Amino acid sequence: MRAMLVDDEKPALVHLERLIRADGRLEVISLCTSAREGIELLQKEPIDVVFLDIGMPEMNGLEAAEYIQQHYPGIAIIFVTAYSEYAVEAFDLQAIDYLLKPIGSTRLQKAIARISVNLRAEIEELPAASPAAKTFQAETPGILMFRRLELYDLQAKQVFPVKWRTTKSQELFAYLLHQKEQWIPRDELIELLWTDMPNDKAATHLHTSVYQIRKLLKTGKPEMTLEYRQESYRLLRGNVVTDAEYVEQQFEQLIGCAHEETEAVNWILSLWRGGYLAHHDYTWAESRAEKLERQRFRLTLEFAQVQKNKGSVDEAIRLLIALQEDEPYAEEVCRELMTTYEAAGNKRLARECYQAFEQRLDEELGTTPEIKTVQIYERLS
Amino acid sequence: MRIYLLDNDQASWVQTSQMLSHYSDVELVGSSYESDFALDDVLVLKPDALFVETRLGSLSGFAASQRIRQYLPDLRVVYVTTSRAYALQAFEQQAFDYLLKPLTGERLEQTIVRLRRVCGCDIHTKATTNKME
Repeated sequence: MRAMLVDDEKPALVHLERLIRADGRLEVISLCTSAREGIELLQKEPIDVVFLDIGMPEMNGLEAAEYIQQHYPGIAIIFVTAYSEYAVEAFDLQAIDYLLKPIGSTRLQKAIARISVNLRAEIEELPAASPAAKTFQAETPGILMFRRLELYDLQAKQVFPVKWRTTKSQELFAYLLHQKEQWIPRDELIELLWTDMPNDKAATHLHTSVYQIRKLLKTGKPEMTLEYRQESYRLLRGNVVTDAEYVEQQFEQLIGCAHEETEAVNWILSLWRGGYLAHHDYTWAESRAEKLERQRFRLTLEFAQVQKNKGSVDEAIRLLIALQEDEPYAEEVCRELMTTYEAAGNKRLARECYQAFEQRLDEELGTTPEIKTVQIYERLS
Repeated sequence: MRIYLLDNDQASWVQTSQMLSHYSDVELVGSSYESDFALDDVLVLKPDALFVETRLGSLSGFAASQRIRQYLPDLRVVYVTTSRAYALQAFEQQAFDYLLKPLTGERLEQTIVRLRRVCGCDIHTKATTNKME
């Protein structure tokens, strides 16, 4: 676990660092003499735990903790202070511990033990994290939303079968997941799922579906809860990750730097099982599905180029062929495939690739390839 | 999740239990005004969390929960109290949370959400899921 220490007094920082190093369980990543410096660093460095002094000029430790809580809820906070009177606030801020200066090594060891309990399963659940990419941790999603909605059992390492009594229950579950953890008014749900039904009947259906989802969660994903308050519902995840959200978030970080993060890209592309909720044809899912498809397209193409430039031509070809199956009319894929075959020294396959593409466009769309694509073909002939 | 409530002030006892009853997945498995009874109850009922006032008269809530924890070291202790005095000790004791009275819905929610996360698998409420609707 990676720790950051924040204290405006240098000697206190050094003392704490020495104790932490002696304990050996945490890796001290940085010492900061102001809260602002610490917060800026959090944008760049992945940190698991922050040791935070309270009495500091400018931004004090409580304010800093509040900021960290809001922006990085996964980070554990331990206050280290000469003041005893802020312990109630520390609880409010969900701090893991509150250490009074001067700190002894025994008390510190206790605090460190609490962090590991708190960060709990998160770390254990990770399959082989990539050693190359420091910021990347390969996560295995517990809910699958690519192609079709499925629950994944992380222990058994397989999808577990869910019997949906009605397709509406399933759609409700998917929709609540789609909305992340937001409150959705019950009227909106009724409008979406039971439009043509009299209101009281629709309400009963909604109620039954909610009941079914809760039952399912209890056995399948007990960390998750479906809440109801003030005529609204929301689905809390606990620490369950959905593949689509995880991939979407990773796409944003990886597009443009696939060459630096090959292991991360490999893992992320391997999670793509098909379009977002594609099997279900939900109209409300379309715009996110399109966005994800575009991102996947960009990243795969970029990654194929990276592989080609590295000399892993076979790998590049495999990626491009898989992409072409989903995007048969994409000119860029065809061009990339041709130049990759060419780089592999196989002009014949490159030409065949073009001919098949031209034929496909002609037969299925009644169009012809773009000039740029034709030029590559002519160069090959 | 199953919660036991120990508070010797009747008004605030009523208020806390009412606020807890808003949660469909919270079951108040027992409560008392006196720490002696609570000790026996809690050992039998084994709740997921003990909500306790720090000021209980002869035996402080803090001492009471310390004693209970000797038997049930994993019991999550949540202080709901008028006094700030025990907060530091609560950290030493590794209490789960420390809430000041008057209790607000928002702050209680934070505790419940965290409890849900840690209780996860061992929530065994009985058919309370639909109570809210």
